[in-house]
Amino acid sequence: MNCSSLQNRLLALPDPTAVSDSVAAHLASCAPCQAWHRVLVQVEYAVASVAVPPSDGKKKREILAQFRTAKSGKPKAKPQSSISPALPLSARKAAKKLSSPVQPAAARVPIGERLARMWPLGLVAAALLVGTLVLTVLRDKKPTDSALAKAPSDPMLKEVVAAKVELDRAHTGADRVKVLAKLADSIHEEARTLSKVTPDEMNSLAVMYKKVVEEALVPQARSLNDDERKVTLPKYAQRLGEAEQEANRLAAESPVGSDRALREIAEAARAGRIELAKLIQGRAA
Amino acid sequence: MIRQLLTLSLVAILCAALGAQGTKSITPAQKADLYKKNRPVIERLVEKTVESSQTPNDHLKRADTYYKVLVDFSKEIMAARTANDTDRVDELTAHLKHLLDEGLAETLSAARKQVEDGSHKQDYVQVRDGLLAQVAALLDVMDDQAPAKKSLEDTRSKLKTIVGPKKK
Repeated sequence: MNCSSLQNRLLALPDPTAVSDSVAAHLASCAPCQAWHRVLVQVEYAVASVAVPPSDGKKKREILAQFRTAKSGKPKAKPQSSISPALPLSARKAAKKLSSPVQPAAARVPIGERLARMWPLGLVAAALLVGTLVLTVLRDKKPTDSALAKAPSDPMLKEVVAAKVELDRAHTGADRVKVLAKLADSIHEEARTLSKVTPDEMNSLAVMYKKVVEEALVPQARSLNDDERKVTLPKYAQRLGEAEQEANRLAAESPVGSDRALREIAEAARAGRIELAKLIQGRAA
Repeated sequence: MIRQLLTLSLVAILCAALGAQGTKSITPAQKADLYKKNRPVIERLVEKTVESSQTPNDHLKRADTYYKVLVDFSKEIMAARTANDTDRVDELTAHLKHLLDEGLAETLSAARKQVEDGSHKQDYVQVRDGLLAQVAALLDVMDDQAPAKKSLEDTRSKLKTIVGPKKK
């Protein structure tokens, strides 16, 4: 190892005081290199301990201005490459800190510009909105096609089917009374709805209501024992009372044709309520 | 913040649009149309429900109440099929299936137990066979590929498994 290569090696060391065995052997036998090494160590420590001179900020601004100019262009060199590897670690850290790129605060983009950047999202939202509106308008324009082609299912039919099944599955008289009272309610509700739109169908509903109350509900109530009657029947008697009042009220407001059927329903409800009241009081067989 | 608000607005619009397509309440005029259409089966069902309530312990008689119900449903289903009203065919078939699966099957099982001692055995066989024949007649006129037919075939198979009382 000659003196020149040794000095290059020393310059490449992060800490010039920590040398390898071969370097140490050369230094021990070479006085000029020993002197050069001492100077190198002194310089390393001197650089690290140099105080930062006070500044008016002008240089800082100049450097920042340089970075701003360079930001738009391609970076020419890596910042780390300007730091000499010969400096001690502490000194290089300080230098690195000083030379690290400073990120200036990004200028605030106006709201309008930010919204403008989101135009694809706005386009999708607008398309969806327009599509929904068009669909709604088209549907409203063709009520006969859509409403009649896809007719809704009949809730009354569903309730009547359910009543037949539930009655055949009922195991006690109280269960049967419950099913029949519900069926009477369904018929009454249907009559209430149809009374103003289709008087022709009202007679059918009145006949059914009367049949359910007189021929099924009251006889089933009679099959209950005294205790069951007292527990079960009051609420059904009350419902019949309400149906009677409602039917009478509607009869006064309904068109000719519906009024008579509604009065028949009211009469059937009244008769049923009286029968149930008698059963509750134990005055009937 | 603005992005979140936009997303939220979009979701709200979609929800409103989808919600508007949901359950539509039936108007009184629609109800009147439906009642006119379904009146024969509704009246029959009410009549037979009342009849069933009068014989709560005679399961054979209660099973027999299904015969006319089945006949009326068959008529309506065939009429709807002729009119190519598949929605109505499906609706009526679903109700019929419910009646047979949940109502008749249980009643028929109870009737079978009722006649196990031998009395009214012939009545039981007659009632059951009459009902099965009616279901078969309906199946004969239904489209082979219709889902309604398949569901009714399942029901018929179930009813067939409720066999009569064992011979002593």
